[in-house]
Amino acid sequence: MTDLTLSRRGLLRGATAGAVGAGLGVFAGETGAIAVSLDPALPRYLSAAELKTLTAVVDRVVPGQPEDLAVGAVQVGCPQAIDALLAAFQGGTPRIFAGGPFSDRGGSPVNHFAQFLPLDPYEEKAWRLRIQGSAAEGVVGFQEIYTRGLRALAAGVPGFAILPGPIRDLVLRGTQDPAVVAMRDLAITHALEFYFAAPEYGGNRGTGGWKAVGFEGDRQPRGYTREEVENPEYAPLPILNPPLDTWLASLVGSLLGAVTATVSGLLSAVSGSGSLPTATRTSAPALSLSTTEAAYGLSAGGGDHAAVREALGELLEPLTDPRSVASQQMARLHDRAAELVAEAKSRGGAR
Amino acid sequence: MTREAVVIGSGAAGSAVAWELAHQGWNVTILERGRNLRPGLGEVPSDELGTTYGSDELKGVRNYGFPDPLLEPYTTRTQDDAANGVARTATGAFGQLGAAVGGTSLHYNAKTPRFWKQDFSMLTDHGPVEGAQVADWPIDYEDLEPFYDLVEQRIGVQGDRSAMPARTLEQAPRQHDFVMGPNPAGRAAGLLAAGARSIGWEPYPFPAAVNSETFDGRPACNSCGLCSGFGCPINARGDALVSFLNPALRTGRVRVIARAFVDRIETSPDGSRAVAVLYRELDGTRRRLPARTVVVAGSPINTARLLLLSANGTHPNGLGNSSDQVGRNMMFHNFTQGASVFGYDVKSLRSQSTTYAIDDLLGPFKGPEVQAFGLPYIVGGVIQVGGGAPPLTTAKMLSAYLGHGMPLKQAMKVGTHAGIVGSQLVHQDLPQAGNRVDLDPSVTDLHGTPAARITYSPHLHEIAASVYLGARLEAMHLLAPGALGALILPFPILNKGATYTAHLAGTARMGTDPRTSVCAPSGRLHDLDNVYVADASTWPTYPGFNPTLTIMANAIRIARGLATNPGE
Repeated sequence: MTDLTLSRRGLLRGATAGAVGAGLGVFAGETGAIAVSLDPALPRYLSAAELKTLTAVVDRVVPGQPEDLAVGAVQVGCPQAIDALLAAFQGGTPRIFAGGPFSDRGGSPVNHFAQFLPLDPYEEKAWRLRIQGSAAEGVVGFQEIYTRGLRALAAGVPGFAILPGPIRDLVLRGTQDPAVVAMRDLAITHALEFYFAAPEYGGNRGTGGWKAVGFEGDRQPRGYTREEVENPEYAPLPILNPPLDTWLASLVGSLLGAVTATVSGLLSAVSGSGSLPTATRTSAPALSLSTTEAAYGLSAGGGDHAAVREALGELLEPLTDPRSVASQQMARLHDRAAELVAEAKSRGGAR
Repeated sequence: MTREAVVIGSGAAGSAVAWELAHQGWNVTILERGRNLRPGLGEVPSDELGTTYGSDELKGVRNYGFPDPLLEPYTTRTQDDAANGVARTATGAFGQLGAAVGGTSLHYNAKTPRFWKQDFSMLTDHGPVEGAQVADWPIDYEDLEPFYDLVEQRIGVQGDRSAMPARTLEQAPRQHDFVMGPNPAGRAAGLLAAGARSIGWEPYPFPAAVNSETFDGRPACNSCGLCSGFGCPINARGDALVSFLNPALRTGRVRVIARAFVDRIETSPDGSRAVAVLYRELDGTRRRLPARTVVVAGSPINTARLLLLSANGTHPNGLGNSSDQVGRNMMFHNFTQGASVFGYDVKSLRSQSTTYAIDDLLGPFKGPEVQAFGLPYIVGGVIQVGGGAPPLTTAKMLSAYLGHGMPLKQAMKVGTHAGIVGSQLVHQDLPQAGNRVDLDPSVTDLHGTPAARITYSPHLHEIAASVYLGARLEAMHLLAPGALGALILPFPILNKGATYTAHLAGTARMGTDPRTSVCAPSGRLHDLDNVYVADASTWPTYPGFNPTLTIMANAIRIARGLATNPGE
């Protein structure tokens, strides 16, 4: 029954007419108001109240100040970018596919990304369906997922938007309301997309998302020189204080269970604080996925966060039982690898 | 001598066919379900073509240049599901190759290894494997070699013959050197290559259709690192469009009709010949294109789907399916993913991706360790060494573990995209009768045409190979100098179904016996006089190498045979 790729959730259910709201200028953060600048060029779909709630959700996907010095999803414009996606067909060229080949960040005098590509009728049909939904085709659009979920959240948790961040985390993680769950998972997907996408899409303003994680961004047409490729500067990965496993344990450890513990070990190793625990090798293999094209398969059904989570969960499920056939095969693999490493080292070939 | 053909699909196979036929004086119409993404196509030389691609990760996530899963879904299930009467377990984009003029090659990784001599005679050399339909190819390396030369010259393959192991050159002899030398190798891939050498392996620059110098008027690659899944923004990659389709269009003898959704090949009343190709335009308008010769090049899932959709009174089980082999032997390259973890930024995205090839794990392996799995032998594949992850892909993967919030942000900050460098082993997949494409009984595409349904389970061989070879891959990653540890993801151990890959083959295997194969060695359907299959559907087995070079070479071989000896 394990098929990795697919969105098994009926992501899209019928369209609904949504209010086109006025702008929201301020959103209340954990310790007071955070000014949020509005980009008047971006189209709007959600009401002011809905956008306020969405902003309070998106803030938890990638928190910013005061919890963290690096900018969060709200500061780089992700709520407005999501709202603009919902309004993509309200006039002008839909902001679905940025132009090419270059932005102006890699040496081009012209920013082609800023000129969005006209959709052909096939692409328009697909994206209208995805955003607006179609009752006739049994597809629920992004618009309805957001409006239903945001209204349910605001109704179910009065004052959600002004609750402290950790309380909002608990609400979002603990909710059983299907409308809120669907909205939350879509908002996670979209917030991450806009946080890390080229800024022309509306998020990642000032490339704040890329800077937060040390990504150098799009580099064409300059690219890299031979020297930069062959002898890159040495850059140790940052050491977190407190360490990452503290974050994981304090915030999500009890909710995510054993997988978190092993991932925590892996990430501690990545950050330079120790060697890789054996347990990590058996239960965090999917991290290597992101280094290859296979990662695309996990989001081939539309890239929904919940679908990826489900697919990974199914993939790793056999390893949660150490007596399973898959666990034994993995153990055999690791044991043999260790022997081969020992043999290579005894030949003097390594390190 | 008809000298006129309708080609279905404009990807690696279809474009190569059109180019060859045009040079033989034929007139060709290509039908393509995707749209054109390269401004100037057919109007200007390939070095002057524009592109709508960029170093834009979200565009790829949004299926740019791919079929949309909402409009053209596939469905999937395992062999066990099929035995239990389960119609499907999932609906989505699984196994979808690109849908654009030029096909998936617009955003492929351009790795272009040749197959080995031993790949063409597995059954004769090593015998059958229970539960699999291992077969010899009806052609051999020598039949393909001149076409390998031709394709490498046209697409511009970089490489270093002097760095290739003796066995590689013995198995895949080359009369000519590569068109150009390799690009600079990234540090990250170099660390993995050092690990490989300490096992005794021989990494060498991966042959790739990527310019290391100006070629065909197109510039050298500048190592931006965003390759697979991205169209090259600077036109530094050879592919089906710039190397074959655009030059073919400029002969004036070839035209391409985009957004043409082909759903039937119509035959003469006696069923002996195709007479027309039927397709729908995007708005549903029905079109009928008379055809004197038809070349199917839709890639394995879609080629099988079209042959099955074309069933009629004289071909009740689908066109060319008197053998009952159409759609069977669907093969995917299962990958075993490996990665080394470092405490510093290894700049895994800073170089042309996948810098090194390692072919020490091709096999076949037959020792006691293999016998313990209950198999006569294990065949392996090439290792693509060195790969990095752009941040959105990494963040989506991590969020599936960590959820969202500060843990995810902190994990991203400590460089899970920067301290990890990956590789993948391209596993040979054995052909099985039960791994097949058929028509879904209820799911359809936007025109109401039945979707392809894929039934797939890995064979014991695939599982054993991922244990046996995965151990070796993990050892390489552990031995990379400075590695803190290694990660390994052997899909066939964990996943009982099909794994996403852009590497597909099978479904219309070629052979000399019409009772056991769909196509003759010429690519012509045994059952019809003028219908050919030119893509990787024709392959009887699926060697563990990136397929595109061989798809192009075999397609040109088939097209040349068609032009010089039609109907044979």
